[in-house]
Amino acid sequence: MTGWMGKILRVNLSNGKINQETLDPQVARDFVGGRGLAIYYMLKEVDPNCDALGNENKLIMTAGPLTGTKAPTGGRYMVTTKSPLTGAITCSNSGGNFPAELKKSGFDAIIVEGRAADPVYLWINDGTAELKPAGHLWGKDTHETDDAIRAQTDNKAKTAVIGPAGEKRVLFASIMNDRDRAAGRAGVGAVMGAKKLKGVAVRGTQKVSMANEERFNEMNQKYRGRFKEVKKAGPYPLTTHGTAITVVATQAHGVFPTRNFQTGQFEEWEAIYGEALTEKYLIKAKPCFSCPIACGRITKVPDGPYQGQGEGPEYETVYSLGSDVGVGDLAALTKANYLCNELGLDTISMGSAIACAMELYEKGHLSESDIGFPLKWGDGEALVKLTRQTGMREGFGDILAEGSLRMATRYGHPELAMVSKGLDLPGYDPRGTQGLGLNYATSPIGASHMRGDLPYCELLGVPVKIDGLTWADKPPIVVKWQNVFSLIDAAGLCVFFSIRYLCDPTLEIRPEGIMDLLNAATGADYALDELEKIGDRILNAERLFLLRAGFDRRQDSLPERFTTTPMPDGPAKGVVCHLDEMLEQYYQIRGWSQDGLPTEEKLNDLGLAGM
Amino acid sequence: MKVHVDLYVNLKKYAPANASSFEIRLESGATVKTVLEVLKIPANEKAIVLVNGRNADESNPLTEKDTITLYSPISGG
Repeated sequence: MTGWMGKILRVNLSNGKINQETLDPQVARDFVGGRGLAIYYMLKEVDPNCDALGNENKLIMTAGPLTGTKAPTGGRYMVTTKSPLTGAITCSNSGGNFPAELKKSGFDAIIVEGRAADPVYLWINDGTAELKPAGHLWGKDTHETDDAIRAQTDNKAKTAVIGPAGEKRVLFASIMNDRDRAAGRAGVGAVMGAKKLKGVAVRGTQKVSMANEERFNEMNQKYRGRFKEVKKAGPYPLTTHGTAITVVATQAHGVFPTRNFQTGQFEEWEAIYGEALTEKYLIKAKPCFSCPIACGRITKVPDGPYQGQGEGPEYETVYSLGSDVGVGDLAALTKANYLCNELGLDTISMGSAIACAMELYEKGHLSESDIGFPLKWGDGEALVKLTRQTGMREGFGDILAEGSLRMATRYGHPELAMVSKGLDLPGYDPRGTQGLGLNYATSPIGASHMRGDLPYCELLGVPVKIDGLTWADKPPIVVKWQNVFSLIDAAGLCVFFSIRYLCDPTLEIRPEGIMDLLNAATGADYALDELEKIGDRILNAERLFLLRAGFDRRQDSLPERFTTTPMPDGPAKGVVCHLDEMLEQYYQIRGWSQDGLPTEEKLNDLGLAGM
Repeated sequence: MKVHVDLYVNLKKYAPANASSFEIRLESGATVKTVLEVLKIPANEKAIVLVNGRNADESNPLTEKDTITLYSPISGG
């Protein structure tokens, strides 16, 4: 095989057995890799009704055929498992250098099964793998763990590890690779912690072989050239200021979630957005493997109570640990971000849970004696303290660690948890981004902005600008975009580059560039229609897992705040999200019943009938 | 009439006196295109256009106290 390494590493932590399996070429062709390959194995091997933190659940790390190649942004991997936060499937994507190193170590995927009796880490060195004791690492933060594992194996190794949050099964614990890159969403780190797997370290010197190297290089130059042309015209916002520059667009549209989504404009936005970060704390931009954009931020808060150094914040964090909790102190939110990285916490769900607690407190459902101190909007000190407490499951942090929905339910007000399928919303209010509202409600993992991210067109003008307030036109766009995003995640690419430079610049976003690169790498000779169908197949396979786990149309929902309470002010004033109307059309286009079930005909067409 | 203009990201360089948030006076009947011309923003400079936070384009007519927001396309958040 070319593009693919052709090997899967299967690790059983219960009995310590490690096996290498051959990747079935037909499965590779039909599911590509990354998110696609992972859902294939999840459907085949994991009971959707299993205890997410029990021995039956599996943790699957998958690269794509373009991961570890020279393809622009070919450095992504996916972590897939049943989520302990939501009970749904989750797949969380990350970049950095770990994914490419995994591929170069000779594997397309790692399937982790069972549970170790004592803490271990997995060491993969150029085609061989072994489990090593990690009792001495238990309790260490992600940076300490990375240092220690590299010192014990190879200083050039790349790691993906958990911090105390994953060990303590915080339900939104992340897996941090390359120290500060996160597979963040829906508790993949808690699953790793429950398995007593402290980390995975990889070292690889193998080359990802190409079916047609000359053609691959030619296509690589062609699509990188598109980016270079745009960059020539002026500074590239993501490179100069990181993703936090996006605040400009969300604030202007009135969809920048503020104080637990009570409104969509934050009065202190200029203190926390990308340009403020550049001016105050940026040391340098940091690219992931093979990425020409470099949106990563290495930053330093030089002095004061929030002194520290690390990576971030990116846009979602500026929302969740900033506007959503009413914090306009960039130093405090950056410090909370560093803590999330070190303790291994998803910044979105961390901020969202604290925002929910702040609203419960504001409305008198949660008292000072419950928390241990007053909890007012904008309190940066409380933000940092609660983040630390959550990662360690100490004090009120033990309740926050269960996530916003369980906490809000505990205090009698589940409607104040800003979640879909139990997963906290990212930083765009769906009242002013109607298409994204449909994305949130139908994303297989719960509210995600990375499963067909409509803000690109509704807010950011990529590839074209459309109106975020209209809803009747959105279902067909959402279906197309969800399918193409699935393909991007399967190929091992980053959405940021792919959507703008590897797809045609219309709302159709036909993935021509992905096809060219995949074909040159794998020799699979994919047609464009076939690739779009693969995206559809992945989405439907994930839907099957969800349905078997007990989900249906009722969970394709949004909090009432968005569907019944009009936005109180700003440009989206008076608007609610028209989810029900959009869902009806969405199911029709998808070939699903009005209960949200894929029809037999649809499953047959996608080759999923037997699964 | 007087309108308010906010320029962000790469559009900031077209601001008079380097203040990216400012007011300008326009003749009645002015459109977004008039603002682009007054500020000498070239046609090849890609800009997302909002009027009062709502989607707009160059032909959008303006009225007293409107806010025109212009920023460069951003490919990721």
